[in-house]
Amino acid sequence: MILSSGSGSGRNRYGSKYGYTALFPIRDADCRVALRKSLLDMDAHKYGSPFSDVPRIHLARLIVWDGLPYQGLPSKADRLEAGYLIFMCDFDGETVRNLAGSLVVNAFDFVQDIWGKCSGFPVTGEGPFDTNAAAKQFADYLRRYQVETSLFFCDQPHATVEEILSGIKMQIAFAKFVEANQADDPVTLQQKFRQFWEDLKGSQDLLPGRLPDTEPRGTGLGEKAQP
Amino acid sequence: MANRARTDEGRVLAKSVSFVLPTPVSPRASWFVRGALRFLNYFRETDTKTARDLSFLSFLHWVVLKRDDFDSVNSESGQKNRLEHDYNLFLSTFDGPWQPYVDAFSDVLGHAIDFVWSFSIGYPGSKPDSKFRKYIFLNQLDAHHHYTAYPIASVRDVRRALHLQSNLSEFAEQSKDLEPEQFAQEFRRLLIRVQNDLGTIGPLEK
Repeated sequence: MILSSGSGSGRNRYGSKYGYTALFPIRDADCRVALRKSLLDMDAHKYGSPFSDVPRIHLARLIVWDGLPYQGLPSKADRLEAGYLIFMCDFDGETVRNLAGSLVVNAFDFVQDIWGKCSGFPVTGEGPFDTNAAAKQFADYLRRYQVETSLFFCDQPHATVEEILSGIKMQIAFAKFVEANQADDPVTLQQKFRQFWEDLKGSQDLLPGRLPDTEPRGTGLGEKAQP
Repeated sequence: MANRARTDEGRVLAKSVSFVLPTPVSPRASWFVRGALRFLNYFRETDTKTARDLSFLSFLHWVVLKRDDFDSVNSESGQKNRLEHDYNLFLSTFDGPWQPYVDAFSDVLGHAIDFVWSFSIGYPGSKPDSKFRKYIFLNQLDAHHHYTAYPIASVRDVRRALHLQSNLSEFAEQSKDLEPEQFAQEFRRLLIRVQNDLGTIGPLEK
């Protein structure tokens, strides 16, 4: 069906990121309704989305597409007899296999729930579960329905999810440190900075999709600045 | 609909918003559109400077879908999709409300988007704004699910965080053996370098 632009195509990549776009045919009308409900219900997930369990994903989007825009006469109207699931995903990695492996390992129930409603989904989950085999099957499936991202742009092509979250954690902590220690003498400032830096290095990482409200004592994260 | 990503059981809105626009293109013209996009992609380090200057566009995918890409069969009616057009599918992620984004697109990137979308049937051009907005409003697809790994951060927040991280890590390493007076002096210099990076980063609302 869909052109297989190939996971090795440079057009789908920018820096350390891969821009994946795909169009999956949905099985039938019942699946289309169920899929729409499943997707909208995902907002109530503890961290906004099951994708938050997949640490290499920067951004993901799912859309049920069952109607095409009509531009009026003299244009002819197109009509979709079968619906499609649009999947757009930006992740750290070089191939679709990276994405498939991470999804299967970290969010397999979610994968089954969503792509199980699409035609040709190969991973049934029956019998003894073989992660490698499932990841390979799912990667083949993702490649089969992939479309070429002819133009792929991102603002930070070389920063991974982990690096960006680490930067955000550091920014929040340091802004509070500066606010709380503006009038310190040099000796106190140096001591406090060393302590701050040690605490920051030892503090828990900010995790994908989460709010920074559970950080440990001493970094200034989630605390009010002390005068 | 879920154009804006969420977190914390849906209670907190993220800063990033989904924008998806499919527009029909004549099959005779779609090969040219794909070629133009590939050309822009090849030179994106330089030709996306304007997009970067806008500072609210985090991710963008631009795809041309051929009629063959829609060859599924309706399992109930047995009918196959038969389309007259190829489709130009634009998927982007931006920070902030819809109208300023669309207006900025029209004002700043008007020539670039006119170049690609002028092959889309019914496209009125990026000027006047009202026709452009109407065209987008009529054709836009709402997302059913949208996720971002850093919901509290906008494009500018991420830039500031990475800039500060780089400067602060370097400072921490180089200031290890300084005397207190010298440390304080270098610390003040660091603050001058990163003063624009110290704004509050946080969610939109709870």
